[in-house]
Amino acid sequence: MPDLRELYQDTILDHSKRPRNFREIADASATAVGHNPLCGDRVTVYLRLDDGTIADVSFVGQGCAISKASASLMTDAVKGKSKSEAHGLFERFHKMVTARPGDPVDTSLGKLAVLSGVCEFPVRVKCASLAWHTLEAALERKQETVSLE
Amino acid sequence: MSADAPRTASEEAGGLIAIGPGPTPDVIRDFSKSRREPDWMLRLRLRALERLHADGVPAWASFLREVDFDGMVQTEPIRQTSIVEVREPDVLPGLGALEESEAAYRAVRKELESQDVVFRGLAAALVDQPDLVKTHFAKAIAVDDHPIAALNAALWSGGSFLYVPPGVHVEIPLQAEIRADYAKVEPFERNVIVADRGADVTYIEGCTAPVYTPDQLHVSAIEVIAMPGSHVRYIALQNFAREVDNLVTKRAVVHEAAAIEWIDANLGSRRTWKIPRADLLGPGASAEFVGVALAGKGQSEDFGAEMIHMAPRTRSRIVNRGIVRGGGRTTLRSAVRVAPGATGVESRVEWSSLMLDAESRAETVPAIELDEADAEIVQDGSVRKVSDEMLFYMASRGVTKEEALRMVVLGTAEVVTRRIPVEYAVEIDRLIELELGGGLG
Repeated sequence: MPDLRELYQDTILDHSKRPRNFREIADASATAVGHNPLCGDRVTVYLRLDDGTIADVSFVGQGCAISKASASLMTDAVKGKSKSEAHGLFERFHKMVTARPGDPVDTSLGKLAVLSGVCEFPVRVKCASLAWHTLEAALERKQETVSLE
Repeated sequence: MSADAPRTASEEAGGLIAIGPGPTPDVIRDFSKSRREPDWMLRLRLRALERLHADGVPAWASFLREVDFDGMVQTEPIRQTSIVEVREPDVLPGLGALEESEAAYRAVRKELESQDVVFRGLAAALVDQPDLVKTHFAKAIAVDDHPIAALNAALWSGGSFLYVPPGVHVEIPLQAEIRADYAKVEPFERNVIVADRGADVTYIEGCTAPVYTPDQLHVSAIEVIAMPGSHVRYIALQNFAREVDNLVTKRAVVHEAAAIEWIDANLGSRRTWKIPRADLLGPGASAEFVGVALAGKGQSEDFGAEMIHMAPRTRSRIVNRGIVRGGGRTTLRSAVRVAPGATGVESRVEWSSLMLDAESRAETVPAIELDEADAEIVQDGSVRKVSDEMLFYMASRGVTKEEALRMVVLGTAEVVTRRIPVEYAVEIDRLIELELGGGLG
C-alpha cells in the first residue's frame, strides 16, 4: 500500500517538523519529564486540568522524528478528554505499538494509527511511547498535588 | 577468492605505509584468553595482526598511526548490561517506554527461538557454539584480506551473530538491540550473518540518534553468507558523531539464486570509508547496492560498491548518491568485475553527485573489468550543481530558496528512503533537514 505509506510518512514528518502544542503552559496543574538516555530523547509534558478534564496539554523537548511526532499527535488526541479517557487511549496506543505485525489497527485511535507500523520495529517502540508514559506520570502527579491543595 | 578481486582504488592511491606501534600480540593474547576463545580464533587474530604489521595501512588511513590500540582493548570478560538503575522521577517514564521495547525484544527472541534462529552476540556465540561460528567466521572477509579488514579481525570485540536455518523467513527486521546480550556499539564491531538455503531476513544496523563512541574510531566488518535461494537485506543507517572515523568492510558471499541488498545511508562521522562488495558465486545470484552519503563541513565519505560476478547469469545493480555541502567531500566508487566463465551477466550502475556549493568536492571512480564479452553493463552518471540561477527560478515560482534546496536534497536521498521502512525514512529525512537548516545562506 504505497499510498498509505506515503500518508503515514507525511503525517509523521509534518508532526515532527511542526509539532502541535509545542509550548510550555505557565499555569500547568502538572508536568512530568520523560528521558530516554539511550537515544537522547527528552520530553516535558504540561497539563492543565479542569474538573478532571484535560483542558490544555502541551510539550517541549527534543528527540527523533518518531518521538516528537508521537508527542505532538498525543497532545491533539487527549486535549478535551477526561483523565480516564486519556488513560484508555494510552492503553490502546500501547496495544497498537506492541501488537504483532499484521494485527488489525484499532480504528478508534484515529490519526494515532500513523504510528502503528512501529510494532514491526521493537527498537522504535520506546521512541513512540515515551510521550505517553510521560503523560501518565503527569496525570499521576496531579493526583498527588490535588491532595495538597 | 580475494586474490582475484580487483584492488580497491583506495589501496591504489598512495600505497601502504607502516602502522606504527599498532596493537601488540601480547595484548591480543590476553584479550582472547580473557574471553575464553578457542585457539583457532586466537590464531586468526594473530595472523591478521601479522599482516597488519607486515603490510601497513593505506596512506589515506595514516591517522591510524596515532591510535592507542592497546588502550582500546578491554580485557575484562563479557558481561550483560544492566539497564539504568537510577530511580529519579524523570527517568521513570523513560524506563516505562524502554520496558515496552524490551518486552517487544523478548517477544521477538521467543519467536526466533521457536524458528531455531540463532541471534546473539558474536563473542558469546563463539564460546557456546564454536563450531557454528567457525563454519562461517571470516568466510566472506578473510582475516588478512586487506589492512582495514585485518585490523578488525585482530581486534574485533563484539557484534551480532545471526544464523537463519533453511527455509525460515524472519518477519521482523533484526537489530542488535534485540539481542539479549546487547551492550553498546563496539569500536571493532563484527557482524556475521548467515541465511541458509531459502531463508529470508532483514538486518538493520544503526539508529539515527547521534552515536558517540569514546574512542572516536569505528572499524567494523560485516560478513553476509547468502546460501542458495536465500535473500538478505542489510540496511545501515549511520549517524556517528562528527569526531568519529568510520571504516567499514562489508562483504556478501552470494550463492546460486540468492540475493543480497545493501541499503546504506551515511550522514555522520568525520571520515567514512565503506565500499560494500558482493561476490556472486552461484548461477543466478544477484546483488543490489543502494546508497546515499551526505558530507558537510569537515566530512569526507569514500563510499560505493563492488560487484564481482563469478558465475553465469548473475545480476547486479549499484545506485549511489552523494550530496556535498559546506566544504564536504564525497568519493563515489563503483566497480563491476565479470570473471571468466561468468556468461550472461547483467549489471547496471547509476551514480550521481549533488553539489550544493563551490567549496565542496564530489569525485567519482567508476571501474569495469570484463572477462566475458556478452556481459550487459549499463552505466549512467551525473554531477549536478545547485546554482543561484536555479534557486532564482524556483523563487520566481514562489518556492523559497530553503524549500527548493530541501526538495532537491530529499529527492536525491529518496533512492534510499523509499527502500527503507517509514519508521526509519522519517529519521533520515529529519536529519537531512537539520543538516540543511544549519548554515544555508
